[in-house]
Amino acid sequence: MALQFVAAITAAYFISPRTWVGSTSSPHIHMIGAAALGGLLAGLPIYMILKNLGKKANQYVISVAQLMFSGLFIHLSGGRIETHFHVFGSLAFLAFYKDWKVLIPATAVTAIDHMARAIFWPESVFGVLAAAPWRAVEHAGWVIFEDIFLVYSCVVGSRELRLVAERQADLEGINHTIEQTIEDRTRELIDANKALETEIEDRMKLEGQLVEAQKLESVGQLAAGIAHEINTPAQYVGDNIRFLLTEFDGIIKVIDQYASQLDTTGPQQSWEERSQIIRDTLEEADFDFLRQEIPLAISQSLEGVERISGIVLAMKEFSHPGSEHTEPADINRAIQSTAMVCSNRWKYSSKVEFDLDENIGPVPCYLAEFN
Amino acid sequence: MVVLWFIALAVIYGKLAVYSQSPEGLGTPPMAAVANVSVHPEKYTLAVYIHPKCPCTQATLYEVERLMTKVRDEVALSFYIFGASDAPSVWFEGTLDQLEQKFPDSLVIRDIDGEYSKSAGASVSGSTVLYTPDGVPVFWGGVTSGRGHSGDNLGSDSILSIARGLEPTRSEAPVYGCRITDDSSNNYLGNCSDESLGICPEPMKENQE
Repeated sequence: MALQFVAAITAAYFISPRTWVGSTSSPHIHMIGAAALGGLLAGLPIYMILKNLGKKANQYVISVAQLMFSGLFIHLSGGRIETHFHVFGSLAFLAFYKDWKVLIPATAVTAIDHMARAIFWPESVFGVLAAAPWRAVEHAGWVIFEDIFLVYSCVVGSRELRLVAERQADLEGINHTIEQTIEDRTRELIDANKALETEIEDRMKLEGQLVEAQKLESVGQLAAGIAHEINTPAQYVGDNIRFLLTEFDGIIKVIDQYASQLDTTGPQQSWEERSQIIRDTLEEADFDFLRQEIPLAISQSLEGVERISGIVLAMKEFSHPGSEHTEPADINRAIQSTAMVCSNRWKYSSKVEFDLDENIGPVPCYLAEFN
Repeated sequence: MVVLWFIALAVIYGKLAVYSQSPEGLGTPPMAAVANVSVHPEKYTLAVYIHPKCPCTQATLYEVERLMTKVRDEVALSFYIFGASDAPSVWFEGTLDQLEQKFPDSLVIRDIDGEYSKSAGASVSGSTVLYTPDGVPVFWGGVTSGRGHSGDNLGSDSILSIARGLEPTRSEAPVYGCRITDDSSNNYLGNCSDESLGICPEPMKENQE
């Protein structure tokens, strides 16, 4: 519509820009008419399309406007036969709506124009002063002639469009059903997946709990083994200390006897008597036994304490919490500590021999996991 | 809104139609202007008076061209192109070229200040006068059916009938076009011997003959 508006003004500008009286001129009425009529013809359809896109009324207004544009162009071109093709082109254009009813206003505009001209200005279309009525009918008849084919194409086209639309609707229905089924299945899968995830989580929790229990069991076993390992030296350390405590009185008696025999203020005794008393005391205290056993008891106790200390140190190293990242660690020491901590588990059935590379140096590792 | 729109369309379209179908005027037939035109001794002579800048001139030339395809043997053509005395040559050039191309056998005359058209009573562009070989005007009027509107028309039909020896439907027809002069009463002013005119037309250009 907008292009036709511009075309109308352009046509008026080139065909009849000015009217003349002798050597003077003024703007031709066609310029004003093209601007006013073209503006109106294009204006309302464009306004209606912008305001109510897709409304049926728009099509009828466009139908009228389109054929009146034909009239305007025919008028501006001075009734050129070629310009009349705009009428037939416009009808074909309107047939794009696939609605034969849209052709009615267009045909009516053409028929009314010819009827009015036949009555008032027959010469303008028929070239005679008194045209036979059938001439107007003939002119309109050619439009109707085209209309017949266009209406037929509209009806057939609409029917085909309806069929296509129905097929499309069927397809969309099937698609909708499939999509619904897929959606249902997907939802079921999601639910099943969620249930599975829940079950996995439960299992993982149970496994975690089992691991924890196993860990606790291991810790218990480990603790029991360690306790046993500690208990052994602790027992003989205790026994030795009790031995020392018991024999300490005998030693004190020997010492006290020496001290009383050396006291010259007491009863008068000969050295032989005094020596005999001391020999009796030493024999009574079994001092030779004590001289041999006490250093051995102390030595054994020190060994037991050192062993307990070693086990504690190994436990401390074994129970190192570790880190989320690898850290340089003395893996030789870690192997030895672990072997010591769990020695109760293997020492009754096997013998461990270490063949460690003393020059390996710190090795990056997860120490807790390694232990 | 649509009704108002339609009414506005009808009004404007009606005005354009009315304007298109309003003849500028007939004037008085130049029954005594025989000596003011060069008539062919054996054929009818169709004198055509045109304003070179008038938009309607093209429709007139188109209709004359159509008419001449039918009466080429019976009718000779003479064109009178209006122009002011101080008009530059470019005023005529376009029309002269067109006439030479479309009507190579025609007689073309510059109608300075409309003296020839005045003598023929042709105050409106598009006016034609058909003369017999004896110089008797037998038809006078336009050959279009509206302003700038080509197509079948009474003037051409009448000329065709006369040229073919038939009884014409009319001896005159309305003329649609621009006014050659602003004097609507300038009809026939006399012939070449008339002292009031004082001049006789001389062919400015003769393409043939």
